[in-house]
Amino acid sequence: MSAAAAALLRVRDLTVDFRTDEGWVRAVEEVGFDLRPGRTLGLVGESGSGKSVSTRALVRLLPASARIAPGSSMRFRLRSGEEMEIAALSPRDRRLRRLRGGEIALIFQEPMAAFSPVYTIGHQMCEALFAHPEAVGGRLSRAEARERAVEMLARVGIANPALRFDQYPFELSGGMRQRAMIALALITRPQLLIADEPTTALDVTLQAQILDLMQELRAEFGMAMIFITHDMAVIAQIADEVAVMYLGRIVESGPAREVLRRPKHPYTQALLRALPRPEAGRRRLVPVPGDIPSPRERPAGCPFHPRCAHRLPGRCDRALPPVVEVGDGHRVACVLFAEEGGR
Amino acid sequence: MLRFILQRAIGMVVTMFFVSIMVFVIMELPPGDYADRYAFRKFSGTGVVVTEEDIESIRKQFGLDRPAWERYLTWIWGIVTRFDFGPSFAFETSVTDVIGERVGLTLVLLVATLLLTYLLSIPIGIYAAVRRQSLADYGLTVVSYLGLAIPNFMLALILLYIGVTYFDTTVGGLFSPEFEKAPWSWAKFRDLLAHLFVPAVVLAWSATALQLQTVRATMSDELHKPYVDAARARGLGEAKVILKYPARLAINPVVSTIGFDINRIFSELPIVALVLGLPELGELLLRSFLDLDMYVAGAILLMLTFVIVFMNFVSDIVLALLDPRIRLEGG
Repeated sequence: MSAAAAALLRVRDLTVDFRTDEGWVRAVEEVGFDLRPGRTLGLVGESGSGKSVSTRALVRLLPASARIAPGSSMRFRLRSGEEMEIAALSPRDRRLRRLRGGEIALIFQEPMAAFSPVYTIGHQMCEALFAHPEAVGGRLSRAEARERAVEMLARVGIANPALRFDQYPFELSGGMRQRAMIALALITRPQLLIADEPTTALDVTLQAQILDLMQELRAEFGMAMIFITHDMAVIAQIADEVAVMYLGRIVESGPAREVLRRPKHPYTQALLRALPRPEAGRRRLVPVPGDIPSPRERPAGCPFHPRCAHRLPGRCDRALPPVVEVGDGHRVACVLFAEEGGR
Repeated sequence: MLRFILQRAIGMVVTMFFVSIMVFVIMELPPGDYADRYAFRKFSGTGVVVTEEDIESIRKQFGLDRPAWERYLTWIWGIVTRFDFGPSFAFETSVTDVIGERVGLTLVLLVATLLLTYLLSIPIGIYAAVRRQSLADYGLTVVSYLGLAIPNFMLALILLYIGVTYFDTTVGGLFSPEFEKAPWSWAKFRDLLAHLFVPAVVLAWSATALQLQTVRATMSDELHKPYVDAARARGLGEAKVILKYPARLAINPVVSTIGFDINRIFSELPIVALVLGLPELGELLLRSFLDLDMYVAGAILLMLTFVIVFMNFVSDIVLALLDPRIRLEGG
């Protein structure tokens, strides 16, 4: 029991800096979360909030100009049961290659761009199989690999999979490409799937289908998932837990139901108000006022205070608000709750 | 794919047809014809008075009195059926004899130059892009701009000087004196390769500099595309990721400009050949224009364009093999 409940991934104080012409810029700051096997964490935030960067750090696929700050910790439990500190790996470590694709797989926003145009779908899928003999039960022959890939294509709902195997990405429709991308990511049965806005580029009906499919496959394969999105409606549909990010920091996190029903942080509340709700009738949508500032001009104190309707002058612009537990696992970083919750 | 090749082949034939007409028009363009020239050369200074009739009979003798379309057809027919490019008036023999060995040597030089260009520019360009903004990258950029800036005749002179002073090679030519008239043998071939090296380096110099920049630029673009990260995310090793994914696309622009490279090499050839004393076609082309020896000029122009058109055909096919988007959508 305790082994199953133990976290698959524990992230603590993850901080990522980028080197720019004007010096170091902090894209992700002191991010922390736990992820248990079989659970889905939704990462929400506007563009530039550091959602993608923090997940890319998990497979160490950051641009050359990025640096994971010392003190960051990402502990991942491998299939073998062994614990691995991802932040401590050297970029050339061979274990990193086993991690990528074998333990943690990625789905990208633009399946067209994430597939190379000059190799067939099947070729790129088999590549993942050949790269991870440890994850797929030994070295496969070409015929075996093809069989598994075709099976996987069929599993994600692609009709005529044997034909699609030999086709190039541009010969598939957008929805089919995203299904193929999912098939590619899951073919090695990873323990963790990171989905970076996988439905953003799709139209709404396809979006719902893909979300259903991902949820189904997550349950079937028993893997954990980190789902990045800027869409609160998607979170409601797919996530068990949610973490709301703003300017590289997690401002609120907790069980998805709880956070969506009783959002505490003014930013989370603002995001939810910006969402259309059928039961609210003709209520006007309220956009979050202002723009997300550049990480270069990070405001002092609470990063959200310049846009916050409830800001307390003299407090919010001075120091970072403490993280307060306001419910079972529901945490919020805001001074409004500092008194009642205590810490 | 077969249909694609067939289409391109037909396109090539059609292009060559129009090119041959243009070449023929160019041959007809200069004022006067070889009959005037011939009469002038043969009789000037001899005191013989040349009349209109004399020139007319010379014209008849060379078949220059026929209408243009008839001469064109005879010319083309000879080339296509017998590989006969017509007579060379100045040398009083057939064009094929005059051009003969020079064609082979020019082609060998062209191929050697192209190989050298691609063997150098592709790997170095890829390396420079991957190590972008490193010392190696900046160094290569400087060298390649030097490559574009140094005139090739100067480079030829420098290499000749170095060759003669330090390596004791014979100056110029494609063969050492002892092999000049010798029949083909392994030793002669090796001698040719040794002599080809300097002209090939000189000719490849600027083409390499240019293509290196092209490869580097394309590679830099491709390196940051999501599919590269996606390949890394599958757990592939870095070398495999680079060579299999972005590098594969980075050579496309090189392949598609083979024709331009040939053209540039051929334009530079006469000057380099002059400095290095090479028997090649460019210099002959210049001389034949001066002599109004139009069948020789026509043959050279036709062959040059044929090589370019043919290499474009080859590059189309190679591109289609490299990139399925062309193969499957272009047809």
